[in-house]
Amino acid sequence: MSSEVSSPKRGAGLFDLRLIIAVLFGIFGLVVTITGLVVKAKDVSASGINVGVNVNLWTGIAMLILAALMALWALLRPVKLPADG
Amino acid sequence: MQVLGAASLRLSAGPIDYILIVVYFALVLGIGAMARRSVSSSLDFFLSGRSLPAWVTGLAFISANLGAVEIFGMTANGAQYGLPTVHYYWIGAIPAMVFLGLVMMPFYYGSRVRSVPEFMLRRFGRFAHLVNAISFALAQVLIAGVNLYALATVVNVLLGWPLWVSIIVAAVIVLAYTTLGGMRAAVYNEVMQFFVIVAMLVPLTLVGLHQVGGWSGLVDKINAIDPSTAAAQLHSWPGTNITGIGNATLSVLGIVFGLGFVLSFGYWTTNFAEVQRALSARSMSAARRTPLIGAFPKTLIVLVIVIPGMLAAVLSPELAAYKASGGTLNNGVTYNNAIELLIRDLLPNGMLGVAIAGMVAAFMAGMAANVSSFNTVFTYDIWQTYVVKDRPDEYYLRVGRIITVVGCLVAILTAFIAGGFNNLMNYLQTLFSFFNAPLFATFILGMFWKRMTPMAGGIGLIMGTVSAVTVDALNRAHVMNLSDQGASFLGAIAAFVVDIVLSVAISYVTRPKPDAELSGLVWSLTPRDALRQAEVGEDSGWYRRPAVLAVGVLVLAVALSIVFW
Repeated sequence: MSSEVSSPKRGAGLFDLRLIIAVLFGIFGLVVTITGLVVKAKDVSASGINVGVNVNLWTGIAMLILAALMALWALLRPVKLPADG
Repeated sequence: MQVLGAASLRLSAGPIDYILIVVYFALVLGIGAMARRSVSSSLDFFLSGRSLPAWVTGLAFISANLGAVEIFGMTANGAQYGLPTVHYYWIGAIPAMVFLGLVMMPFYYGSRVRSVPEFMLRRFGRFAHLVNAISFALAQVLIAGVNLYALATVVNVLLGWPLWVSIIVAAVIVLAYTTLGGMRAAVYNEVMQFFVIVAMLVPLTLVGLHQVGGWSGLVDKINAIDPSTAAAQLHSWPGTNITGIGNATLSVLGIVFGLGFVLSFGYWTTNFAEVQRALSARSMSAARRTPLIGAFPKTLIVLVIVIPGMLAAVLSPELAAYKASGGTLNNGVTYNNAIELLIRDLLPNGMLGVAIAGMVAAFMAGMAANVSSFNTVFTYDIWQTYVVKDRPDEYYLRVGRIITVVGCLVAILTAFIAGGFNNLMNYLQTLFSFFNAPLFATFILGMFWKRMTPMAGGIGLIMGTVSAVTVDALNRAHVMNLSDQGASFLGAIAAFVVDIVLSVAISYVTRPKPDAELSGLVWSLTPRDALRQAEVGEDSGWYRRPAVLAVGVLVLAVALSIVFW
C-alpha cells in the first residue's frame, strides 16, 4: 500500500515562489504606475466615472513595494537545499 | 444570459489591460514548466514530495477555497444581506481551521496517508473508503466543469468572448500546468492568485469607501435607503436575514451549530481539496501550521469582500434599483454581479487588467484545485487500491498525468452540458455538498472512539447524506419554509446527528477492528510522540508553535466580531 518513495529533493530549490511573485508585481506595478502618471484623465475609471483618486498610481506604488519586499525576503533568506543523505 | 446584462456589464478593456492579462498567464504557464523539473515520483506529483514551507501551503490552503464562486457568492451576500455575511468566515471557517491544525492534522500527517479517503480506508476499511473516494472524485471532476462554465460566462459578459473559446482556453491552461508541474504548480499558482485577488479587492474597497464618504457614509446610505432592513444589514447578529429563521435565538443557534459547527467543520477538516495542501507541507509542524497560517488572511479578507458587496448595492444605480425592488426587477443585473459592477465603475484601464486577471485566475485556481485533488484520489484510492495494484511508482505517476487529462476533458464536457441545463448544475453542486455534511461526524467519532466499527463508518456516512438530502427535499417541496442557506444549515445538523446516533448504535452490534490496526488513527491507541512535531531548525521559535498561532487568530476573529457586532 504505502509505496512511499523518499523523494529526491534536487528540484526543490530550483525556483523560488517569492521571486516569481516579485517579478509579477514588479511588472504589474511598473505598468500600472506609469499608466497612472501618463494618462490625461487620471482620476477617471474605465467606464468614465470620476472616482476622485488616481487608482493606478497608488495601487501601482503599493504593488512595487510588495514586489520589493518579496525580493528582499528571497535575498535575505534564500531557499536552503536539503543536504542529500 | 440576458442581452441587456451582457451589454451593460461589458468592460472597456484596453490594450494595457490585455498586456497585463497576458503577462499573468505567461507566468502561470512558466510555473508549470519550471515545476516539472521537481516531479520525479508520484508523491512529487500529487503532494509536491511533501516539501513545501508552511507560508506557501497556508496561503494555498485558503486560496483553493477563495475561488471565483466564493468571491462572487460572498460579495453577492454582502450586497443582499450586509454584515451577517461575516459569519461565513469568523464562525464558519476560523474555528474549523484551528481545529484542523491543532487536533486533526497530527492524525492525517502523522499516519502518512496520501489522501483523506486513504485515512478512511485505514480506519474503517473498504466499505466507507469506496463511498468516500467515489463520491469525492465524482464531485470534484463535475465541480471543475461548473467552475469552467462559470468562468466562461463571466468572460463572455465582461469581454465578449464566445463561451466555447473561454472554456477551451482556460481548460488548456489549467491542464498544461497541472499535468506538467502537478501539485507544486497548482499550489504556486494558488499563492500567486491570492496576491492578485488581494490587489484587486483592496483598491476596490478603498476607492468605493472614498466614493461613498467612508464607513459612516456607507452606514448613512444604507439607513436612508431602507430603514426597515438597515439594522439587520449593519449588525452581524442575529443574522435573521441570512438564515431566513425569524426567531432571533433559533437563528443564532442555526448559525453557530449548522454553519459554525457541522457545515464548516465538515468542509474544512475533511475536504481533501483543502487537506491536500497541508499534506504537501514539509514537516508535521508545517502541516499543522498550514490551516493556522491560512486562518489569518481568511479572517481579514472578509472585510474586502463584504464591504465591496455592500458598496455595490448603494453605489451602482442598477444594483440599487434591483435591491429596492426586492430582487424582482428584471434590469439585467443581480446580486451576483456586485463585484463586476464595482470593477466596471471604479477601476481605470490598467488596474482593470489586474482585476480581470485576478478573477479569471480565481476560477482557474478553483478548477485546478478540483483537478489536482481528483487525480490524486483517483490514482491512489481507486486505481492503485482496487484496479491495478503493486506496480512500480513510475506507473502511477503516468496514470496520474493521464487521468489529469481525462479529468479536464470530462470538465470541458460538463461545462458544455451545463450551458444547456443551468439549474441542473446548481442542483448538482448542492447535492455534492451533502456528502460533506456527515463526514466530519464519522471522522471525529472514528478518531476518538476505538470501538467504532467499519460497518458503522460506512452506514453512518450513507444515512447521514440521506438525511441532509431529505431536509433539502422537504424544503424544496415547501413542507418547511426556510431560506436556501437556512435549509443547508438544518440539513447539515440533521446529517451530523443521524450519523453519530447510527454509528454508535451500529458499533455496539458489529465487530470493531483490532486495536493493533488502529495505532496512529485513534487518539487513545496512538503513542503521544507520533502526534508531536519537531521544534528544531526551521520548525523552531515560539511564533511557529501551533498553539500560539491558534490563540492569535482566535483573538483576532473575536476582536473583529465585537467591532462589527
